[in-house]
Amino acid sequence: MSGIGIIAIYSATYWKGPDLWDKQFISVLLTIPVVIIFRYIDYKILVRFAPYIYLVSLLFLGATLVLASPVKGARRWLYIGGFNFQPSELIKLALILVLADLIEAKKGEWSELFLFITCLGLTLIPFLITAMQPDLGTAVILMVIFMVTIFVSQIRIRYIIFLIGLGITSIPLAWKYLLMDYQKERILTFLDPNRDPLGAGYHIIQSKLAIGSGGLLGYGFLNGPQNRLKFIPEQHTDFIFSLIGEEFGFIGSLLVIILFLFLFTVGLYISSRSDTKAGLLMGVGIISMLCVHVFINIGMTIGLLPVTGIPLPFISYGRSGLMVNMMGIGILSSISKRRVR
Amino acid sequence: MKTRVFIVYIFILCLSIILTVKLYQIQIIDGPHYRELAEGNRIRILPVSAPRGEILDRKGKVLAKNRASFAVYVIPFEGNREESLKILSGIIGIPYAEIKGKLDKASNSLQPVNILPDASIEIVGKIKELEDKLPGVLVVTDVIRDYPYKNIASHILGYIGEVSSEEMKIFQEDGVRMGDTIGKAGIERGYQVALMGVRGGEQVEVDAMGRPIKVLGTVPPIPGSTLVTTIDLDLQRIATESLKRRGLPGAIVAIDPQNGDILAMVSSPDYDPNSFAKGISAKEWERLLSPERPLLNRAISAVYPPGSTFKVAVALAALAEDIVNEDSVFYCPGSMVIGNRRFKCWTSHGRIDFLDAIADSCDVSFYTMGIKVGAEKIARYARLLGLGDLTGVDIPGETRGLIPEPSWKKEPWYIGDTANMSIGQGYVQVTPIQMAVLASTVANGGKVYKPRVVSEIVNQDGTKTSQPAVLVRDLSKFKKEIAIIKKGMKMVVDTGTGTSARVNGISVAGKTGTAENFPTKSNPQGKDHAWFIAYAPTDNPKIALSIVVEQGGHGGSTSAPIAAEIISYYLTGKSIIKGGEWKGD
Repeated sequence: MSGIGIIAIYSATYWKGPDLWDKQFISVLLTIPVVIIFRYIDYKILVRFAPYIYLVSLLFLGATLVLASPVKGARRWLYIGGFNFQPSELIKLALILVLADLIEAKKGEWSELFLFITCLGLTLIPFLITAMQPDLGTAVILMVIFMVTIFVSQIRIRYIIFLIGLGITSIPLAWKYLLMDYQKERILTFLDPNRDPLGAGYHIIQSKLAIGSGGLLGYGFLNGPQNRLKFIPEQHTDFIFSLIGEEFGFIGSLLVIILFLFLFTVGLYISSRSDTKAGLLMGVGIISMLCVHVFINIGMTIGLLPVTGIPLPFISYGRSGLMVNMMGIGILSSISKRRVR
Repeated sequence: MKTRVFIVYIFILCLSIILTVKLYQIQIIDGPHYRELAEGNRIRILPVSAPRGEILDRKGKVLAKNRASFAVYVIPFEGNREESLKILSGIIGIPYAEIKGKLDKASNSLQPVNILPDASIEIVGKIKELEDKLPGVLVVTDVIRDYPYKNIASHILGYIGEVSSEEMKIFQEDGVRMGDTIGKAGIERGYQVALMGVRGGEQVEVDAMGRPIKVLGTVPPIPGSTLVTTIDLDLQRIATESLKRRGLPGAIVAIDPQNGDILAMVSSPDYDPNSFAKGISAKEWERLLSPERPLLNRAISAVYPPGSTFKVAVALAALAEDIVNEDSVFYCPGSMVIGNRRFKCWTSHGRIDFLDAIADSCDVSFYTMGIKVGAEKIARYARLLGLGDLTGVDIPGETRGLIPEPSWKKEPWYIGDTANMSIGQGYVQVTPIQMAVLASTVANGGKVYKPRVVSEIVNQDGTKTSQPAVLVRDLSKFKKEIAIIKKGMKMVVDTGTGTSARVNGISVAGKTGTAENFPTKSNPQGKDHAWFIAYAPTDNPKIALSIVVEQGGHGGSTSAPIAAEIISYYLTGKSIIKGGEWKGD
């Protein structure tokens, strides 16, 4: 999977200079040990430390609001010890851990409603912080993680339905008070990309053009004209799927989707066979996290969903995301290893 | 719990299917459409301007063409301007202040400013040598319009310049765009559409910033058509020199009486059309805008009272209306009382017959004839001959002039007005080209041709559009009357007031005119304009002429010799220089 990522980034950045693709290559090499390390760490230890991991992540996340300098109008990056990283990537994993821990520990002990509200609270804190950064994509992912976890943990579904109902009714309020102008613009242009073809709608139009023009087989590696001519914005990060669609066509795109589906299948299979509740919840949480990334990202590039800054896991350029995703794979691997037969 | 995981899995499967279906739709079903769009997205058509058509004289000599040049540009706001601009000033010989002025005018753009459109190889060499000290100075290869014969025929050819917003309205439909260079005057203007050609395009692959990456293909421009003119460059040059020797403003038009071809057209003072292409110095501008108006094509745009040359029209009216015949006799005591005013003749001719009245330009005879014919009829015949109306020459900027008649004048028309009109004074105003058409019409026995300067348009694909001679009016029914006038006009040169127009071995006919003027700003003493119209040879005319020299005094002494010089060169190939003698007006 990461191999595809490197090839695609190579193509995406070929015309910008050689350093980005080999950086990503090195990142992938560096994160493979992460998978191995997490594989050999008992996920139960992680679960035990979940509250602390969660708190630290939350602290980092809160720090972005204060310390980070805005990039393209949003504060998402922290610069610590020579590394830039995005705490919003880490918080997803931390939320998965803390929810798994809490539900395992307190299910049956607390009332369902109280457990639900506590979980909701734990989700809402980072949700609101990321929404303020603003990073709407991550906020949505956090909410999805929460909902899937609750759903799988067999807490009563009516709570979730109630929450969804609340969410829908609050859309007009959120529209008025919560969303920044550029976010509104993105949603509006998603509904009608030709509203502003050179501004906000540009990404969607260009991306669809690139993917569509790829046809069945694509233009071939390094030959995608839209990519080469830099018509696709963020072609090595958020819109890398456009490039894959353009250069490798329908076959290539389908291959990527099938690979992800394979990953999800294996991941859910592992989760469902976990002998602990925490293992199952963590596995499902990690898969749903990856899954939301994939669908939001691809959905955005083909015009199904509005533009959000959600990268394609393992494929898009970017180290924080890669690191967290690799950790997730490591944890899944650990879950599968530690199944007591 | 496992059931719920399974439900999640089903959900994920559904989403994957949705993605796949959408991808299938975009890539397979709509793929060709998007591919087409994408190609359009990254391909820009950059205009490639078409080379302007050349202008040739009747023998194929190139009067206007395009030439590769080096242009010196300066990018505003770059480097240490003052010092480098002073160095540049020293190299190109344009004062520092002038360069700075041009830059300041364009200071709100980052577009390079053209400082010297046509730099010599030496200048280019020096700039390259001192490149380090001249930041922001660019040398660019360019194409400029070149008029190899400079001032010769400048008013015929005209000049070019950047299109103005008013001109855009005229030429937009023809494909002219803002910033284009178009003809501003002369043929360059009149035949702008034929000369401009069709812009080509370069299909260029561009990136998202619009920067060209590579050229995919070119649609070559179609160069403008070549114009073959009726101008005889050598004759044009002789005529120009001849007029310039008089040292006074004036105009000459030489026409082939058989078809209306303009053989030469001179207006003095003139200008060098190259200077518009190369960049005009402040001094040259001042001269061009001076009261002498070098840009004015006097041959078609200036009006003068025709003086006695108008007697040709009056004579035709009198003959055609049977007021007089060839044998009519007049008595000239040197003046004549008309109304309550005494009208003079330039001398007392005594007893004088019709032909001598023309030859010796007797005013009293023509007062008598004119009053008998009446102003309306004089006007009618003058207009038949093409006076007081546009000749339709294919050079823009022609003026109509004026042939007055009683109904035109707001105050009462006095008999004195008719008398003045009979000798081409008063309100009568004509252009030199109208008088040339008149001379040509008399010469060919009554055919009024539309004068033309372009005879053929040669398109780039080799096809030719020839512009046939246009007969505006046929006055052949006055053949007999015209024959009598021709006799008189021959006598003008043989024995009369125009003997200075005599050319050895050629029989020349003509008519002198001395147009009196009221003092004006440009002519404070009210000096006379010297007219002469002529044609030769008398039996089979090949050239008809009209000449006017502003404030030149007597037509017989100032303008008639010019006619002789032109006719001699055109018909015998001999260039002569002739002095003038006054034999009466």
